[in-house]
Amino acid sequence: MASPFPTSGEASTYSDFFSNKPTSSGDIYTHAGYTAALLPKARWSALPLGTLLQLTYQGRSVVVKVNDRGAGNGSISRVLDLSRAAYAYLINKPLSAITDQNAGVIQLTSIAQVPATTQLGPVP
Amino acid sequence: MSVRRSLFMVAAMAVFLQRAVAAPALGPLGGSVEAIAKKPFSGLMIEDANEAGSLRWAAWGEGPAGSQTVRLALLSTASASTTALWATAWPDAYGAALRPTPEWQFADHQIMAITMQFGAAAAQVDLYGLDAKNRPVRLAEKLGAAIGWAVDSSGDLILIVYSMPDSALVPACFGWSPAASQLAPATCPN
Repeated sequence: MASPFPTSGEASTYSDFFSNKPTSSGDIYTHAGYTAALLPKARWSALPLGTLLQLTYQGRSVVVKVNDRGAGNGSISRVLDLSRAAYAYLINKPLSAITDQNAGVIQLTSIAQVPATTQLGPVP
Repeated sequence: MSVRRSLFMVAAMAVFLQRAVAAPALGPLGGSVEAIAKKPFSGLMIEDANEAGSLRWAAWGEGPAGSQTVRLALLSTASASTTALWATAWPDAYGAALRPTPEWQFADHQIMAITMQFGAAAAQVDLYGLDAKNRPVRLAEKLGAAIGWAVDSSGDLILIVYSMPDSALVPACFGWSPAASQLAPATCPN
């Protein structure tokens, strides 16, 4: 049985290279969506695809749908890759300001499962 | 779908392809393609495993988007009927592609690379060869955010495995070491 998914951990965002590529769920990845990929390989089955997570960073929260699996850098401390829109909201910058070169790793202080009926996107 | 059924379909496809090359014709395709087209198959690729072409690798995907499985099989075409000798599978993988690497040899056979996706930013490459008794041997496995191939300035084939320490792709390069029969770190081409 898979171990519980972490309630905090590191996250980053997708490279431009992955725009419009198919995800594990069959969805097409776009920077504009509110989605996330499970990292690393050891956690690919820790949550079912389609699970909604509320993520918090420095007081800002966003709800994303887990629809993908990622390789990251293999580190166990890296928990999620976030879509560019989710990442941009959490660090309080416009999506257009995020690039492959300036997007770093952030420390999510809270990762919580929320009901499937929860609206995706920024939490007011 | 059972593995046995899947292997039968691939063997049937191999026979069809041989016949199609020998006698290209329009009209009914003999049943193999029509049957496969009805099934959840994708990306079927078949490549020779030995110089004579009597052994062939086949790779394909099965299942609907979101729950696919990639399969790899070794087929014998030495007799009148094509038969499956061996098979393996990767659940949750999709987008399989075979890449013969004649530049890389193991036991006097070219090594076959199979790449597949587990996610938009999760790609895997496995290298397979045949041993002296023509049995499949898995020689290497690499997982990265993306997989690429290049040729360096010396003409050597280079496998590129990209990781994402943050959000930018960082390459790590490998060549084939015949002496050690394994991948060896190499300088990435500019």
